[in-house]
Amino acid sequence: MDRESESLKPYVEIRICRHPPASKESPSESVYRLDYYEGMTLHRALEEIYRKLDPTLAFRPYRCNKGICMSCLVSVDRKRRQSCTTFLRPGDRILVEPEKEHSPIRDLVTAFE
Amino acid sequence: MTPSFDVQKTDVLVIGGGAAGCRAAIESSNSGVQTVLLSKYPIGKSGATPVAETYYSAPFGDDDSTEIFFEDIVRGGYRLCDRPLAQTFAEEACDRVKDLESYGVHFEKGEDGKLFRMAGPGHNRPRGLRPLKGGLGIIKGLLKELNRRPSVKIQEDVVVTKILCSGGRVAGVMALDIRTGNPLRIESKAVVIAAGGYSQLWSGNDVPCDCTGDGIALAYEAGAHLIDMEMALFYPTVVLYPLFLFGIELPHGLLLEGDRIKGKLLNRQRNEFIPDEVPVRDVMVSLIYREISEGRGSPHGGVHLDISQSPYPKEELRRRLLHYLPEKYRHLLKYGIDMCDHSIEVGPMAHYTLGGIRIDTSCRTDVPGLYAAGEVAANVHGANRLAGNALSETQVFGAKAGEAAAQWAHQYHQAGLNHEEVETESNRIESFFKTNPDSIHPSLLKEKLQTLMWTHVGIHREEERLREALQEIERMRKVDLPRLSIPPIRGFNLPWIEALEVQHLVGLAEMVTRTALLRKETRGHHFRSDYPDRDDQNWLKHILIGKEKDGMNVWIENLNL
Repeated sequence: MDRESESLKPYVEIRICRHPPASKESPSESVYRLDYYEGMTLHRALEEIYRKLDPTLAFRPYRCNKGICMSCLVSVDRKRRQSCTTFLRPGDRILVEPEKEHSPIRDLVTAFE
Repeated sequence: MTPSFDVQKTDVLVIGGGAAGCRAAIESSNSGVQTVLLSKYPIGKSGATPVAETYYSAPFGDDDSTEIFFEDIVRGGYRLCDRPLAQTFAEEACDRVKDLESYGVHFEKGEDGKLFRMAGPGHNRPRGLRPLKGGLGIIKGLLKELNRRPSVKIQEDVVVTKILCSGGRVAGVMALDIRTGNPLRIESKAVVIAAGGYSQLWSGNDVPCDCTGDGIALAYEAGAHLIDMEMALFYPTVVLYPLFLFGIELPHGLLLEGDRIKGKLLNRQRNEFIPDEVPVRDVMVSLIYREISEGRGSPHGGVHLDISQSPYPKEELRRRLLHYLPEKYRHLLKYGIDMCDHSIEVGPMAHYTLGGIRIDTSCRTDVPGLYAAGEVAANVHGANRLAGNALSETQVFGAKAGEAAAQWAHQYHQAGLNHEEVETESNRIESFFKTNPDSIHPSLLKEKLQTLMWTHVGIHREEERLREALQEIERMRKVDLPRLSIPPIRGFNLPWIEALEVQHLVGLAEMVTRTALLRKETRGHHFRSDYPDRDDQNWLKHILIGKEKDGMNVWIENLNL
């Protein structure tokens, strides 16, 4: 594939807030670019980042497949979202942070109690 | 540097935060003993319970009885179940519903105010009760009840890595606090394993990521005997396409059978191939597999589930879907898929573990002080499980295990610790951090293993493929497992969890493949294309597995009649 058609391939850009385990440090950010495919959800994108790009990414891998268990709750562009029902669109550039109502553990993982 | 141990003590320790584990902890606390419940991820956000879809079987009808239910279980499992376990199951399923109601779980009621009962394939009476919000409704009720009990301590995001034994009985567990990466040692008089099945062993599965059979592997290492590990239940109608719904189970009984939705399963030529009376799961799997393997499958290797031709008008159909399948139908709508208009490609995938830890009717395993309940335990069902029997199994045997474990804790002192065993385990857990120039990501090894099991030890099995699989599994054990490597992070290190899981999975793969090779017949979900008939004369028998000094021992035993 030449450079021009490569650049035309639809992608999504996901900025992830990396919350450190010790709350004194300030969070950093990682940016990942993934090829877009039809029906891509944020949860599947996070799985892909973890498997193929960055094994250090912490997120809650569990999903109930029905959009009701709330395990995959995160903040997307400062809004509370379940990542398994958040669809991505080609060209999306989004900021994903740990969900704010619960205390952060690491990266996107929070404690629920 | 290895952090120091967090050491705790309790009377009863329960592994697993699903419906069976929660019920065990409730029963244990009823007996007045201190109980610790460990869950790999948060309760209600882990294991198979929250994804359990349809119903809870219990013989409540005036036309129903324990005897009829028992007969259905035995017949449904092709007579391979343990009769005393099936008897206990049939006898106690109704009482456990009453418990659940007392914890605040709601079941749908009919117009007569009685429990609504749905018919299902293989059940000769309608006995499928509908908990509100399915499995999630049940787990939320159980959690609420647990939170009312100060003698139960719940610890979430904790993965057990070893069951400690000394003097031939249970002494506690070693575990890892996933949040901090700190090792834990919990001394306990009795341990209940309720950690679910191993359907993640196959690339085609409809279960959450944490269903990796940890409990069965841990029990084997501790010396418990396992039974009929070749028996894995494949669910007939799991989504293959659209791809982004891959792995979502669509309940075929509900969508196809009776006059509820009146959907159809169609092959490539859009012809029906399922009889009017929808058969039980393993027969469905066989019929679907035949269409696919003989070239009549849908474009993505399955068959079409089509409800658009239902005789009901669209409005009525939508109303019914929202009634019978509320969460899933809404979820599909969110994805832009209205099942009333679109057919969906479905096929069989791994769904439930029929084999597992051998138990008796008090949920005792072969290791004194060690109990097991729920999907992790074997042989309540035999070679197939009827729909709705998984949720009731969790409650009947969860309660049994909790009660028996508490009794044990009343009777016996804490066993002493084998410090060498503790140290060896602690070193093993840390060994994943070693740097390795030829390292392999645990996810990658898991995927390789899942694909191998799917292609070689999947829905249809035959000798040559099984032997090839066994060789490859042996290679993975010798060559790949020592190469596992993880990032140097302690808190919420997912590759660390996956490394622990894939070690279990490789062991389980060997067990499933060896027993699948040994059982030279076709029964229920074990299809041998080279032995296509059921052979009651030679194979109305169990295959047992146990750990011996020189390795894995496999033997055959007669049924417990």
